[in-house]
This record gives sequence, C-alpha cells and structure tokens, in this order.
Amino acid sequence: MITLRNLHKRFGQQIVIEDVSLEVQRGETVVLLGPSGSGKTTLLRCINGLEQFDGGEIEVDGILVRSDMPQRERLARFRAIRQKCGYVFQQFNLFPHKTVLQNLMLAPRVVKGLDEEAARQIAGDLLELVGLSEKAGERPHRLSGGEQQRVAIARALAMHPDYLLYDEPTSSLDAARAREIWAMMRQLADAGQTQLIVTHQEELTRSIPCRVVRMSHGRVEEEVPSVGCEVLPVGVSDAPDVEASAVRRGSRF
Amino acid sequence: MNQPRGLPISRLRRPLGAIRCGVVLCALLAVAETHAQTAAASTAGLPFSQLFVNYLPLFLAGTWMTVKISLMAMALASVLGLCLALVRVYGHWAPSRLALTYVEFMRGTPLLIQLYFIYYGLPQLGLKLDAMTAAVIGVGLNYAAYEAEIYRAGLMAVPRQQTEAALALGLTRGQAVRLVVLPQALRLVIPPVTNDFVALFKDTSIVSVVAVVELTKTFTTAAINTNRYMEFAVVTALIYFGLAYPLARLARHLERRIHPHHDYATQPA
Repeated sequence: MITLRNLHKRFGQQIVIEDVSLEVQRGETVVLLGPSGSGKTTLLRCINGLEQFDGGEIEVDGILVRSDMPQRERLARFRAIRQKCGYVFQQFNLFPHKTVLQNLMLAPRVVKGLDEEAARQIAGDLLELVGLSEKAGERPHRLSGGEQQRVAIARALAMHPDYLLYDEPTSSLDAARAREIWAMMRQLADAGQTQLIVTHQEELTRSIPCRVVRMSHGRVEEEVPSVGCEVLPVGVSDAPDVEASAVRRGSRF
Repeated sequence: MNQPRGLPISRLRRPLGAIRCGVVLCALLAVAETHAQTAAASTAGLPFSQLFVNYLPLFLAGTWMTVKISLMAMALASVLGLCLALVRVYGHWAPSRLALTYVEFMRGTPLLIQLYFIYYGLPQLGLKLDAMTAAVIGVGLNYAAYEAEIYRAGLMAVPRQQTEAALALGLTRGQAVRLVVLPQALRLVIPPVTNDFVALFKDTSIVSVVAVVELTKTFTTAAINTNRYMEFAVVTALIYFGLAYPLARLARHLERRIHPHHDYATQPA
C-alpha cells in the first residue's frame, strides 16, 4: 500500500503541494486527474524520491520516509521504494545508447544482480507481451512514440514492481497511440497490477477501471469512489496483445 | 558532369588545392636550394637531397619520439581530465572548487613555463625527472585541464531525465553515472577530444626546450648544423602535417557520424 500523509511541498515561495493525503491499495488503479500546474506530477515524483518534500510522510509497504529524516537515511529508503515502484515518464526517457532489449535488461542485471541469461529471458518475455519482439535489437530513436512508451512500460515491468507510477504516460502521443497504451494499462489493471496514473486526460479514466482523485492548486479536491467503470471500447485492433495470464507471471502482478 | 549527392564545389576544389600546395612547396624548395647553394657553400656544399638522406634516420627517430610523447600525454590528459570533470560535476563543494581551480590555473598559465617548472624547477626540490617524463607530464597535466572542460560539457549535455530514469529503476547515483550518463557523454565528446589531440600533437613541439629530442629539436639541430632552415622547416612541417591531417579528418568524420541523429542532446525536457 502507498500512503501519503499530510504531504507539503514548496518551490521557493510557491506552495505546490498542500496537505495532501492519499492511499493506493494493492490491486487498484488510481488516476490522479488535474490541470497542469495542479501539483500532480510533483506529487508522483515525491513518491519515488525524484523530488524532495517539505512536510508530511510517505509510506510504501511499511517503508516510511519523513521530510525531517537525515538525507542519507531518506536516500536509502527511497532506493528501497524505487525497487517497488516502476516509473513511466511522459517523454519515455529510454536510454538512447542501448538497444531496446538492453534497456529492459539494465536494471534486472545491475539492481537485482541477475545474470545475463535470466535478464535476457525477462526482457524477451516482456517485449513479447507489449508486442515489440521484432524491435529488440533496435535503438529507441528508431521507434515511434507509442512504441517507445510501450518499451518504457516493459522496462518498468522488468523489475517486477509492486506498483507502477505513470507521469502523463500518453500526453505526448496522438489519440490512436494513446488508446493503445490505455489498452495495455487496462489489461495490466485486469491482471491485478497496482497503478497510480497522473494525467490531465479525462478520457483515460473512461478507458481503465479506476478510482479518480482530482487535484487542483496543490490540494486533493475530490475523491470519486471506486466505480465499476463504464469502460470505453478501446481501439484494440492494433493494440499489443497483452494477455492477463502472461502478465500474472511471478504472481507479483 | 555526373556528380552524385554532396557538394560539387568542394569536390572540385580539393584536388586543385592539393596541386597548388604541391607546386608552391616545390617552388619554395627550389628557391631555397639555389640560395643555400650560393650563401652557405662554405658550411655545406652538399645538395639538400644528400643532406636529407643523411638526416633521415634522425628525423624518423624524432618523429617517433613526438608520436610517443603525444600518445602518452594524451592518455594522461584523458584520464585526469575525466576525473576532474566527474569531480566538478558530481563532487561535493570543496573538491569541485579544487578541480575548477586546477583547470583555471593550468589554462591560465603558459605551457612553456609549466614545462620549465617541471624540468628545471622541480630538481631544486629534489625531484629530478628525465626529459621525456617531464615532457609527458607537462603536456599531459596542461591538456587535462582542457579535456576536463570538454568532458564536463559532455556530461552536462546528457539530459537530466536520463539520470532520473536510471534512478527510478533503482540504480544508485554512481551506477546511473557510470552506465547511463557517461557512455552517452563520451560519445558526444569523441570529436572535440580528437580535435584536441591534434592540437596537443602540434604543441609537443614546445617540449624541445626541455632537452627532448623530438621532431622540432631534430629540426633545429639539422638546420643549425647545415644552415638549411628553409628546407628542413618545410620537411618538418610536412611531417607534422602528414600526421595531424588524417587525425583532423578523422575528427570531422566522427563528428558527422555522431551528430546526424544526436537525439541525445535534443531530447525534449
């Protein structure tokens, strides 16, 4: 479970996050919805320590980080949290000097210490899952935006994260590519993957069964209780073939 | 004319330029030849071709020494420069300032004075270095400052988001720098570093003042002994050029290869 308690964050004089409390339960998909400048991206960045916060606390599966902890302690705990939370960026941020397959293999090799063969196995399976096996040897810049984001999601999944955090995952994609990604996220949700999605795209909330949390001016405005969700038919035709059973590998998701 | 893509003008200009250069050089040599024969007949009556053959082994040895010093100095400059850049970009305040001071001081003082200090000054403190070691250390320490600035620019050119992506995957800061930032930065700096190597190669000419018998020292010896400054200067310049030019071309080639799709530095923020 991800828990934020009374989180505060300022950039200089400007208050970006004001007294935000939020819970994300295992297995649910939470969408943090709000206009740009509402502090939602900053909030997400705080959760895995890409941004520091000025007050309150963050707890992920019992790993507690408080703003008044010494820096060293905070960094160590965030490193533990990062291994539980996969992170997907708006601009994908794939490593341009590595092939698609190597992008997926890096963290399992370096952070988990898996051997080459095991990492290659995980990476290969995930590329198949997102329908990009044939791009394994390509450099990321040869891929379209939608393909890059699918690789980025696969890269996050390669660490078998308990939680997936998305920062505006489809904001730099056209509508059709966005729907492909949503279809993927929806299938991950169906497979039990916990997801926290930051977006300003209302349409996303109609594509994925989710709980919607609205943010505005650094505050949580309204929590829409979990809905069964009237999910739109997504353009599944050219969407990657994400099989729920395949996602459930390792029983982590 | 059946020109494929590219710039037809530069293609035409290149062979013409080379021919023109050759003609000018031959003319210079011929003029020098006749002058030398009349003026310096007392010191050396031999034709220059004979002198050239006599001095060829010395010039080859000198060239080899220049190449050796250049390679070793560049190795030193590259390694030390990278360390300085890493400390400057990722180090704490004090080490970072120290690295900056080193860079500014080495860039702000003449290489010649640094060489004098190392070869003639340090023995006063009881540290006697042989000429070649002094030359390598002098040039290497000096160029390390310039390389540090290039590496630093390379490190800064890798988007911050690359580091964030690595950290978000659970990598430590050190791993992120070593496995994600540095490989991209090194790729970016290959052309400027190669260019700098050309400059270093020519600058080794200065180490002739600390009793290293490299190419320039060989030239002065030969020229003084025979009074054929003009001819030997041309020969020496041609040797430098013959080695430096391919390197410069290589730098340009690398630049063109690396920068057409440099999505590294231009990733949107």
